Amino acid sequence: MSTVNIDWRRCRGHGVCSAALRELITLDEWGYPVVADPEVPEALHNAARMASATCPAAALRLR
Amino acid sequence: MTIDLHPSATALLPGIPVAGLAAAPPPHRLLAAGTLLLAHCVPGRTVRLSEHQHMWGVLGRPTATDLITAAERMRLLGAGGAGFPTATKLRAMSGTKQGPVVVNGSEGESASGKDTVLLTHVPHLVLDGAVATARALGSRAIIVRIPAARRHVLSIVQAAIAERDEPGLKITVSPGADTFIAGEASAVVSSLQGGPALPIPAGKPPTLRKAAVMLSNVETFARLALAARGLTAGSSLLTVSGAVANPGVLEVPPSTTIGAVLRSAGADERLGALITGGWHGSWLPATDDILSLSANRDSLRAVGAHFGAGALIALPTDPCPVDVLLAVTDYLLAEGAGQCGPCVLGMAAARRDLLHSEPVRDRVARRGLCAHPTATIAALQSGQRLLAAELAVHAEGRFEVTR
Repeated sequence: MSTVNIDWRRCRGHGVCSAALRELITLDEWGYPVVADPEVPEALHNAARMASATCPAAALRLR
Repeated sequence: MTIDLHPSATALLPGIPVAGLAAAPPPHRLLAAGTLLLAHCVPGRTVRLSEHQHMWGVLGRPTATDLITAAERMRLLGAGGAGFPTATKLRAMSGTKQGPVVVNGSEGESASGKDTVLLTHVPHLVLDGAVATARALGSRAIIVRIPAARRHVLSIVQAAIAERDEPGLKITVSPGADTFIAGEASAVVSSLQGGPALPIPAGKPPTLRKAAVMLSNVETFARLALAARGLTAGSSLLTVSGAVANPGVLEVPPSTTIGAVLRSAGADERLGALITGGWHGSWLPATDDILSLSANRDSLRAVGAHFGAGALIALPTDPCPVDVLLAVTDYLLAEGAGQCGPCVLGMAAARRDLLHSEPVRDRVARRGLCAHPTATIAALQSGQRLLAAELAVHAEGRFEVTR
């Protein structure tokens, strides 16, 4: 079981993660991610990897 | 060190200018001998090692289990503000690769003076707690973090370290930054790594060169010195500031009322409001109900208020507490590290809510690297609850809302 971790020093609110991983990540009024539950279920592993790989700020990590 | 016994009548709040009044200096002085940690202390005088050992006896060698059991029996909570159970922290540390024990004497909270007072009056009690912890956990180094600007504190602690003989243990003093956020645990770890004194993702427990760091507040270590001796007695260590003739530190039995503590510091007869805990704390009315509460964590928690680091800030009726709330808000926003988007934007939006007399919303929701934004917004909400009527008048009338 991996978890979504956001490095808030890097995150600039591009919002790409939410597009890739809508089930876990929504955006606040400024476009910064809100993670309801950081645990990534098995079925969303590929989507989470995609979200992490495409983050323009390299701020989203899976641990 | 010179002590000004008659603080300027043109200053009100420590560290924060408000309504034309200059910022008062931090209340870093002891008002009277305490009841436990500061028992028999003479304000302004440091207890030497020989006197300390005469009073408390020589420190033994408790095991980690001994120390954890004693901390549990004492119900010891971290005294830096967050109140995390010390036994839980010690348990998480034991059995891991040990880095230094860090005594956090940053005291970035400008309304708090108790850590500085402990370091300048009973440095050996603080060092005893750190030494007992280091030996119990198998750590070989102790770092005492003190802001570089507080030179007299640094030199007193350095002299105390020089008095001791602790084989196998390297005790050093590390001068740090003197900002509000610099005392946050991960910010201390960051600066010990050679980085800026700003919060980082430090891990739980935090690590330094891949070794776990047992970092706690000065007062917590002083209380661990008692735990190491099998003592379970408690006390309330408080810093009183604001509308009082003698701002400073008092140690009293936990049953002492807030009103009695305020009177001891020479508080104004009529107060406009009271803040407990510190700038991140709770805004309360200065009513008989509140003033008759015992000045301890449990009785404040029972009314939903924070004890925090034990700061009590008395607010006068003039200037208006609304002016104080706005000044405190600006201070807390300015003291943010400015690293995380939700913090910067969320705190600014909360300030706008306050100015427009709309319910302050928490848009941060615990995001970001530290608790500062979430705690700041909670404090703003608390101030708004207390001063809702006055804030509405300010928003409509003489207070120009332009931002």
